[in-house]
Amino acid sequence: MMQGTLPRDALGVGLRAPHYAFIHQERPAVDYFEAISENYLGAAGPPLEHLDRVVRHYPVVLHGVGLNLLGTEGPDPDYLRRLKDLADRVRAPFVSDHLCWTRAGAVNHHDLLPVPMTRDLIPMAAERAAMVADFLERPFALENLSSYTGFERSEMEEWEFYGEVVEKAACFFMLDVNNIYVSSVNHGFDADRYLAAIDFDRVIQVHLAGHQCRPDGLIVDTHDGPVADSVLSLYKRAWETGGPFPTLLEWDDRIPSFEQILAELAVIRGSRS
Amino acid sequence: MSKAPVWLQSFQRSFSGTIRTPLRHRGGKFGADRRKLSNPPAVGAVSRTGLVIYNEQYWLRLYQTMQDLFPLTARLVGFRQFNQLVSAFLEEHPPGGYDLAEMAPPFPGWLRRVRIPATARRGLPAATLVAAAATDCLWQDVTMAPAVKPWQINDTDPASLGDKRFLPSPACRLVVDDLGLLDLRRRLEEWSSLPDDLSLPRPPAAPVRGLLFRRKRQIAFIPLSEAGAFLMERMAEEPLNQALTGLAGRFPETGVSNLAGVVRETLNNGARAGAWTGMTDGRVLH
Repeated sequence: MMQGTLPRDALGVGLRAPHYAFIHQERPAVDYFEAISENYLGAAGPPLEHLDRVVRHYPVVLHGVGLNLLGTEGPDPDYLRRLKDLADRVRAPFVSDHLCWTRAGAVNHHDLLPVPMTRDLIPMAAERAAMVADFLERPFALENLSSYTGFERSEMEEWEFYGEVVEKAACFFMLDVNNIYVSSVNHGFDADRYLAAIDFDRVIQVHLAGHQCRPDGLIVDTHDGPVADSVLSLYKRAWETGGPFPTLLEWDDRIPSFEQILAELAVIRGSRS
Repeated sequence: MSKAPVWLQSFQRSFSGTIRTPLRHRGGKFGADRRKLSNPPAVGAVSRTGLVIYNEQYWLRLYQTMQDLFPLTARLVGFRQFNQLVSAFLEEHPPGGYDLAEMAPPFPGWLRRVRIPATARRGLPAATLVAAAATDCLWQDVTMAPAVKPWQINDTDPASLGDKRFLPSPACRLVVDDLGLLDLRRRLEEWSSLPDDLSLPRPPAAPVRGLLFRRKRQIAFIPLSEAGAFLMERMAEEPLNQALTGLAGRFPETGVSNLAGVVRETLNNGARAGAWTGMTDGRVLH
């Protein structure tokens, strides 16, 4: 099964602007970078110049936050064209985005929003995901959300919904282990049941990130700190169950020095054994 | 392709409306106004705390982005007032594109158009608030402009320049500043940690005119004389011969030999700043 060209045990980092200078000068020992697609789709020149420099030395995969797969209107054709151009430009081994909606009418919420998990959404979601993969002419993967609200209307567990969409679309899982943990606490399900339902042959990449616990007991997927021990422990079980798989550390807020990022990667690598 | 289920659109519109409910300011912080958060219909009961998180994420992300895009404006007017202005602006103009930076360009025009009470701008003159936002926008435009190959005038063929118009580069902008805001905006780039508040600078003795441009990854500024700035502006609008006629008419006291000096200096400064991407026939149609 084609799963991109990254080594299966590759360990990568989300590409963030504060690290450009360090990456260009030091060429840190990182297997690959993941770029947020939307940061490079606009007309702005400097971000693309940085990305082009990174691509000369590292594999770069693309991760989107604006596909709007589950939006009523669905993915925007102009967005897809730009995404395809970008994926070709960086020779992305694969592209991923989220099983969520981001737009309603003319409003873009710039957030990854949940839906009730209903059977009538699955054909639409799967057909759209398959269309995206065809259009991009490369493997396409869907990421599970961290979410803060459930819906009475939901008819199935999240992993059932996620699994059926990925299977029917014949695409891949971009499995975010932190998100599984966050949602398991927020919605009271068993994270290991989630993992047990995943077909790891279809996992193209795993995400790890930090989160914050609120006083009211909910957890928010903040990407602003080290990966929590509870998430590393879940990651270890995922690795034992379905590893190896490319793993990527996301850090989007209170971004530390790249040296700290490298130290966190060492922690992740150590947690596999 | 399967169509979206009928309930999806009403759910998403209603959820969208809920999470875009304006935050309230209390105790120095912005947070969800729980009394105003409506439950999206069509999906049954929903966790109210969950809605609070989405509601706050929506606004706090937009506030942060606008503060990053308008660092001068936010610090002159104060973060609380700035966020409240952003709320009002984005209720009228919610973000539509996938690029959050697209929120920036209409903001100065909106500030100019709406009547903002003095208390909402912390006593900052309304015109200064607009000028600060325009300065931030200009800085952002130049900083993020697509890279273009600078075009140099071909010295061997000066006679051919007369009936051509100069095409301005997106990475170079003509600036006129009579409030000292451009210099203050430039100084923000030099500080390792930015203060939360800024005081209005002392206005310069005379308006500062010049070219703001990106050189490699740095923003630079070349001052221009009043005549040079006039010529630079006209050269982007109409063929060079017409621009020169306009220059002579606008500055009749300057004299022919001095006007020739203005032209030489303007062309040199423009070339140094990478002000043009080439030449074309005709004038700009408005």
